[in-house]
Amino acid sequence: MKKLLSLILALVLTLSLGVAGMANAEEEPIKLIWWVYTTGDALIDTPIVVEAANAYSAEKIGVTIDLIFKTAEQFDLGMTTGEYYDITFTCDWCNSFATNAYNEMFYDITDLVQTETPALYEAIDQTYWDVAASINDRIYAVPTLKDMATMMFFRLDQERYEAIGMELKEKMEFADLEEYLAAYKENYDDVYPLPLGKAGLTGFTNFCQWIAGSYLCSPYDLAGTEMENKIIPFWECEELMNRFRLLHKWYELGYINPDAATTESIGKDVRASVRSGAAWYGYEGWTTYAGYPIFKSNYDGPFISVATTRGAMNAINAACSEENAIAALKYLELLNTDRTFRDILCYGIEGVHFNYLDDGTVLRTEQGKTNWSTDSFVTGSVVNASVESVSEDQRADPNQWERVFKDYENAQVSTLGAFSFDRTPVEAEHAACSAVMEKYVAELYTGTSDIDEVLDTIKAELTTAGYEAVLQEAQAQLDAYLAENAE
Amino acid sequence: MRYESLSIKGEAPIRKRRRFTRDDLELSFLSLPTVLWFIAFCYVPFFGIVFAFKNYRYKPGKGFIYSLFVNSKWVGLQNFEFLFRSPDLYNIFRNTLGYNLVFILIGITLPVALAIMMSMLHSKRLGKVCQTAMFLPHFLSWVVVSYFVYAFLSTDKGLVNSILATFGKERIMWYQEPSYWPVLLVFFNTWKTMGYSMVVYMASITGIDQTLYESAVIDGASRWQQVKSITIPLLRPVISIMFIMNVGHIFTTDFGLFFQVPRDSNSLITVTQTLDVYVYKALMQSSNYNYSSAVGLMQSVFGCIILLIANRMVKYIDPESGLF
Repeated sequence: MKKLLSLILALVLTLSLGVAGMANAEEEPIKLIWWVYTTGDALIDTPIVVEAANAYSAEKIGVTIDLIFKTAEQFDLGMTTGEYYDITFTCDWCNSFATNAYNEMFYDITDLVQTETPALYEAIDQTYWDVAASINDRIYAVPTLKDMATMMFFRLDQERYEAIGMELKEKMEFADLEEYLAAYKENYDDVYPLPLGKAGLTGFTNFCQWIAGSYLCSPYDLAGTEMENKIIPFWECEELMNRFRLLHKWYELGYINPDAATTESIGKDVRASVRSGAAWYGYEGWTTYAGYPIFKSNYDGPFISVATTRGAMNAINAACSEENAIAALKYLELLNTDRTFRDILCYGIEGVHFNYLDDGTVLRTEQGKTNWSTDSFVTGSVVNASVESVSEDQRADPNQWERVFKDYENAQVSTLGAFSFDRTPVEAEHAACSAVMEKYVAELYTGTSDIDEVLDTIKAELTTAGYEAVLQEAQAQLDAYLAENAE
Repeated sequence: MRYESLSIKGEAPIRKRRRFTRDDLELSFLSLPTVLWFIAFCYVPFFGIVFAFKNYRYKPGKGFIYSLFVNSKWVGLQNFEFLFRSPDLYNIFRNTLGYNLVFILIGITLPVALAIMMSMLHSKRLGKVCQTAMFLPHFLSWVVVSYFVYAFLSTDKGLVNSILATFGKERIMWYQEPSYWPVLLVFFNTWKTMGYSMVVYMASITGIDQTLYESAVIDGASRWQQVKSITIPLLRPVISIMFIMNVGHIFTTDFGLFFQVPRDSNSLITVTQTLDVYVYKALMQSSNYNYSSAVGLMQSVFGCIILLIANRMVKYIDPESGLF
């Protein structure tokens, strides 16, 4: 009897699958698989938001998506094993655009984007197509319009610092942080003033362009000096060495948590007096993130390089059919031109995850903050999305982007052009050097160890691992690139 | 396994022409899932060895096999090169082999001793309780263990340091001080694996013919003499098998133990960096699967060689006890 029952059940299941399949066979939108970036898990409300977005896009352009969240390692694994996708997130710091484009993993969209989606081609500035999205003069990705320069900010706890009479400034030096930490330590004893995870203060090394791992760099401020266009090992960068020394001093003074080097990361709920991050003028997301007022103070940048303009892009799978490639471009076009649609993927469903304020800015609801909250560059153009306010009273400037792009006129621009280091010829040396650096970076970035003590060891080990070969290769490639582009 | 033959003491194995009997059929069926498992996960992926000698490049739109065999270039031994470029090569091999030797030694003596002691307990209930308690850590993943350890050893909130502080002693930066870790790691590993390996020995002790002990008692043998002359000699084949199997893994280490438990602390690297940890750390950034396959292949080949040597040695000492 049981057997019979299970047999019937199985039959019903197969039949229903068949029926469902037939129903789908009718005139249906093209479904695309889109890999997007996440630091951890998928967002909780993904199903309902994607459903809302699909309903909108199916009607407008006949395309729907399946949103798949991937971490940096999952991107590499997925690309190497040839898992199928239509659109993928790619950039300079995750799922490397240069490597994949060189290896012809991405669809060459040079012609398609101009003939099929002229509005998309118009919407993005020509420079970004040329500098960010091109390899050997062919376009392989659609740049995501966002803050195109790197600007580093300290995220200071406004409430507590103002309570102890510290003046907060729009701009400060890295070393200026010391007096704030000292004052904080004196007045509050519930947390370390500068709690760090093993990665250290986010992006405090961004004033250099990192050519290979965390050992070869080219600081932006070399431009205009006799060292212009030279790649140097990190210890020749005096500013970086000074920051390591400062961090170590702060560590010794007890400003940094003693187990920083073995702590994975500092959670959202730790009330850190200061964090660091990349942002732009007018960005208010950190206050929402922290739950209390955050003052941002610019300490590095803005810098512009090919890496910063490649900060976020979307590429199409080279294995896609032309039909799917066009559908993907249409979808990206809609994201870049239709603000209502863009806001769905950025903020969720209106009335559920967010509401519009009278000046056109967006205010997230509680559900929006917890269940659909990710960096906006993940799901498409940031510039085309509405601007987010912190609360009714704390409004963001709805026209902030004009100011942001105007500020870039004063940015420090990299002299390295669109150079990207192809490290295939020295891959073994690079892997060995990366392993050496792996042993020391966490301790250096958190101030746990004293750079002046360990530097000799690091140098000796890097020499054994062969950093000089990597350096020579990188410099040779850069010189060749610059010579070629000099005309 | 071969415990059942233990009870027939002294009988030389009779060699006669084997015939496939009904019993064999049943046993074959019984082993079928395992055999299938090995075929699917150990023999079918065998061709993946070529990974170690290729520079794998995926070709979009073509399958994995095409990409591997047609689209990827042969690079000979280049993939092994990065390992030997490491300035820590000596350190890595010392740790890998050193810890494994200690683990093998402790992994034999301690469980055997405990199994014998346990089998002699008068209270069977106490025996069961102890055994279960010792078995439990086996089910914990190293990640979980790492958090327990952290609760004890954390610099500012850890239990041990709080106790030290209460007695006015200096707090110890456990995760920054390499000298403690060889002992700690050996301790954790023993704590976690002991219960499991004990079960094997206890099972074979149960299989020993009780009449042997009875006659020994009549002859006036003490407990110690019984262990020395009956239990240990009869356990010897099992011990050799366990020994040979463990020796085969001498180039492989438990990644969880050496990476998760010390919380990937770089200050401890001199005593925690084993082959697996090094490969993980070196390749996390570049995701070069060729390099990791190369190291994996090297571990297996060396492990296999050592296993064969160990088997020879064991057979030389005691012809009955070899694995094959």
